[in-house]
Amino acid sequence: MEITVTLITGRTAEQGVGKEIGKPSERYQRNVNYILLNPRDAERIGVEEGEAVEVSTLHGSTRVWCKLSEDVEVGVAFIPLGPWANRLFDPETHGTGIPSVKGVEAEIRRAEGEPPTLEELLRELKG
Amino acid sequence: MPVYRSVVCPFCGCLCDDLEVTVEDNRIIKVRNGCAISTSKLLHHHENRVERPLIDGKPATLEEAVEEAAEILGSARRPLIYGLSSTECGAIAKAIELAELIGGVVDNTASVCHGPTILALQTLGESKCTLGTVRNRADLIIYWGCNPLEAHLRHLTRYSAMARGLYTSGGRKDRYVVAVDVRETRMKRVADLFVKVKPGGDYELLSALRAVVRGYSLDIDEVSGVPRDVIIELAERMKKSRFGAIFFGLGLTQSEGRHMNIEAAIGLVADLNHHTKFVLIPMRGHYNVAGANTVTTWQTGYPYAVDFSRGYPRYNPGEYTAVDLLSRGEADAALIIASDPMAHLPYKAARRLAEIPTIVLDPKRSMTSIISRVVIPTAAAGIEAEGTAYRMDGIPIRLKKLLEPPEGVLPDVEVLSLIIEEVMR
Repeated sequence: MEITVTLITGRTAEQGVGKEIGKPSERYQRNVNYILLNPRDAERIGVEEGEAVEVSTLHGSTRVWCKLSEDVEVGVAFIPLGPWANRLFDPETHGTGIPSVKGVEAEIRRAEGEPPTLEELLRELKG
Repeated sequence: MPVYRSVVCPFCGCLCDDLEVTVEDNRIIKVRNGCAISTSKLLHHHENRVERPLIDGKPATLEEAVEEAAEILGSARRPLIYGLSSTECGAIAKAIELAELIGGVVDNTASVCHGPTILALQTLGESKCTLGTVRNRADLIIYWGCNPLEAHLRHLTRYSAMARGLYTSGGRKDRYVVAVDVRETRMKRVADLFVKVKPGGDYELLSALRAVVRGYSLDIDEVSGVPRDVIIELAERMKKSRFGAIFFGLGLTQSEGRHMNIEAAIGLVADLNHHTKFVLIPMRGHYNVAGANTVTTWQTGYPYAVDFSRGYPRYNPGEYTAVDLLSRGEADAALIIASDPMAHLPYKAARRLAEIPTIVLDPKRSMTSIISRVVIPTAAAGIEAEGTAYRMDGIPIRLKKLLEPPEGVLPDVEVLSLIIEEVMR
């Protein structure tokens, strides 16, 4: 079972606090490695708070932890800016310099296995 | 125990200048008046530091690292210099000098945040004022596609919704506050009116507001998920306000429409100025991203995305912007200053950065510094080095030096000067 959502990215205060401690810090990683889903959407794909989900767009996919909140409506999901979210976005800027990172269609399903760690993301980047 | 007063916070575009910082044994031990992020930055600035210059992950002297950086940049065909929004203006000026010298491209992080705002302002102009004027006069404040409770934590209390000013001595109760967003953020609790717009529907909603302000009637029930009555009431409220301000964020610049959304917002504000006083102010993120645009404009005539490959500056967002230059595989070397593009650019662009020789100047370890060929630690501007930064409303403010940097660690501007000397040698 998978659902299609409109993905919104953004900053959060906790991401800011973690970032200023340092990118390698546990607090930074904890605050960017998640997606916020409406509880009813989570129920449809059979995941609970703290379980891993697979998020895919036309441009890539990533695994992150699931958090639940009524702050996002059904059909919308929020993911903080960071190295996990970045794997989902099209680098095409349509002549503006800025990629589309808000309002992107994504599919979400229950994940097999845990999200990658920051080290694993770095290793993959290095190729 | 020295206590520094009126310290300027080097985190976001608010540049709050009322912090009190207590220092003991060259370590910050207490911060007063700072927001959660500011306090985190100041209290933890010594953690996760880049301890020494590195070449290919191995310790090197500063001289060796500068020599290697100059060799990489001097021999590259299409070098990119990028970042610059979290350092002071002197370093930005030096980075542009270096870009000209090596015939490279210089871009700053505005290209992935308020770049579209700049494109729109270049086309239509702007109606703006200082944050102090908003505090003293605004009786209607609209936050559109931004969430100061998450990104500009003291904006509401120092400059806008809750601030008490000359003609707004009642603070929050003297103002009507509106928040427009695609999801119900905590701003809903702050605002008198929360308007939920469908993702990608901002342009239409702004255009509908313009139509009503101009006296046209709406013959449809809703626009972008917002009922007609709400649009008409908001438009009337805007016209009747004494002084209105729209603060807007990446909800407008990073979604469908991009610079067209900002053009619609500028048009709305221009129309409203036929009825009352109205201004539009972008919520700039990094503390000196406005300075990066300002200094780049002084020196090249353009605010970002500047190419020196022909020996004179050319400007073309979409071509000389970092995401495009990297994802096309065009850049063959990069110098990153005070930024972490590996963590924040789309994967394809970050991947290119990992493939090419990259040099990074940063006080702290970041994803970019962990992967880069050459890493040079620098003194943190606003903590270990002085300098000037530009607030989101274009006001320059002098940053203070509170601590001595670690031995042998120089500010960005001095490291860039050494690289320039080495390239010229």
